Amino acid sequence: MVSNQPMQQSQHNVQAQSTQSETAGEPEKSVQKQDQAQEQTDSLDALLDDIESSLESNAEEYVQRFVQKGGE
Amino acid sequence: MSVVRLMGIETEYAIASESSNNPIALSYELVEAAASAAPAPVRWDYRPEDPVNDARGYHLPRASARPDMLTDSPELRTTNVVAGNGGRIYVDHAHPEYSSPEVKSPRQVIAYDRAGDLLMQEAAENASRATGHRISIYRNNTDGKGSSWGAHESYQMRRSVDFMTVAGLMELHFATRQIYTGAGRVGLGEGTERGEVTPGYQLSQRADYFHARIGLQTTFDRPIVNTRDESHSTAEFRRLHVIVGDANRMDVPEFLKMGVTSLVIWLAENAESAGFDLNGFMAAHALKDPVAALQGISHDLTLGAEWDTESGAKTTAWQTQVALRSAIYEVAAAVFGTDSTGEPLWPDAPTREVIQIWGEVLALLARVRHESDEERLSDTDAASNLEWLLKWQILEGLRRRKKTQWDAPLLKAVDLRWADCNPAASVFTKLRSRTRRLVSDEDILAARRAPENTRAWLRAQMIREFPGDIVAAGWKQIAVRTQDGSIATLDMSDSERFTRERVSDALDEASTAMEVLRLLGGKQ
Repeated sequence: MVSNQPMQQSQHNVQAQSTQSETAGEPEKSVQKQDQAQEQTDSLDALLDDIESSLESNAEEYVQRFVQKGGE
Repeated sequence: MSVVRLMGIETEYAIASESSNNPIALSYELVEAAASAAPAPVRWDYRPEDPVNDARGYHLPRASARPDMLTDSPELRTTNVVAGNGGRIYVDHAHPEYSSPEVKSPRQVIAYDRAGDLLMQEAAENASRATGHRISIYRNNTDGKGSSWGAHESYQMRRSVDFMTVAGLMELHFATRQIYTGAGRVGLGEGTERGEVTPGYQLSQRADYFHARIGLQTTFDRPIVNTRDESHSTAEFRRLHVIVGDANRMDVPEFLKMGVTSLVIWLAENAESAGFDLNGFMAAHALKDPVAALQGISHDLTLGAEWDTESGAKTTAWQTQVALRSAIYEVAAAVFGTDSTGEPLWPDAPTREVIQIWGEVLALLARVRHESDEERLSDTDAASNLEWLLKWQILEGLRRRKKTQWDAPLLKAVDLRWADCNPAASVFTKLRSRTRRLVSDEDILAARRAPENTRAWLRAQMIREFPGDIVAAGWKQIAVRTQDGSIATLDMSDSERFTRERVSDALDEASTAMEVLRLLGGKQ
């Protein structure tokens, strides 16, 4: 039966990865995961600093002025 | 065909200037600047265009069409430029627009769409210098104040496939593909009498502006499936014109937008010969209310909302995408055969790549669905593939830091600046290195020249080599001036006949445009 195989394959493929976050039960892995998450949060923070400082001091006026007409 | 087929994309840009609130005037200024940078001023040839031909098999009388549906009417589009890469830059209503040249694969679409961003940004900068006011363009689809503009896809497909079958499949696909194609938007609702914008964040820029299932129109009561039937090709093909998509800045969402849609078309073209029961598939999966699902899926950041099917079952957007992928696997196994693991023997690299990345991204989405907000904030892998998620990470990060709600002007400003095409001002530019790239900067630079594998090559070369001889150019014809002052037209309906390989001898040999026509005509 060719017809069921692809379904099982793609389901399997998807489920294998989807449970990754739920299998981090071992303490070592869990610490590693926390460290990685911390690093990612730090780099996101630096990026947010940059974005915040690059935006208009008056975001409200900028947003209000952005008025287009319909297209297509 | 496979994923590989004639395809292209049209991007409308938002346009703004601190010293003007007239986007139409600004659009003309930009396109005039683009014209002065183009190889030659060539008129767009509207003769064969027919925007009121309906794919369902009838023709809307022009008298009953709204004026904005008559997109071939020259007074609505007095400014047109054939770009150096064979694409087209023009004013469309109140927006400057870039149409990519015709290409054959999703990667090519991305390269030519990004090259379009560069051409349009250069034109904006030249127009700024010429007029003395700074003009900014944005690659997005709504101002959140009632207006929306498009990023339209085109796909060549066999006309022999029943259009309503295609329409049904596309409705299902377009409502659910947003989970990986969405560019993300701050605000819910249109911002008109149809609904105030309420605070929040959603997957798609466009979903809230669609109110019908199927129709010819593109500017009002927008339909999920657009029926405009201008093939720009031979009688064997139609062009599926798709108006429901977002303008993406990230590569993976745009790659899958083009690639998976091309595969779903391939499914429609091949189901019957493979013995696949497409009617049965549709009976099992068709959504009961596709318009509500389109908007609801866009608003559902959990990715888990269930939607009623016509058959009385429930489905999520993710499950529908998995079902479409399985159907394509089944038909491909019958059409191409399989290897020892049961994997279909995909016919070409672009198809294999689309199938693979589609599977990877669906797997990431399954993970994201079960993540807490904290986990989503640090899921850089998923965010490098999903534009709505990467944008959300930035917005949610700022929202927490500033202790604000989703109606904060700062967040709306980030959403707009994401789309700014000026690299110095764009939020997206700061994040680009965190996204998964499928085309390199070199690919994008190379896309300033025409693609060699379609008729766009001949269009661009004719204008480059014989600028004084070309009277007008369109998607499927070039009109040239003959020695006695009359005009001759080359019919390029069959794109395959005018690739670089097939026209280079004629271009090398000829010393006038008319000679090229004679030489190519001789081969026809």
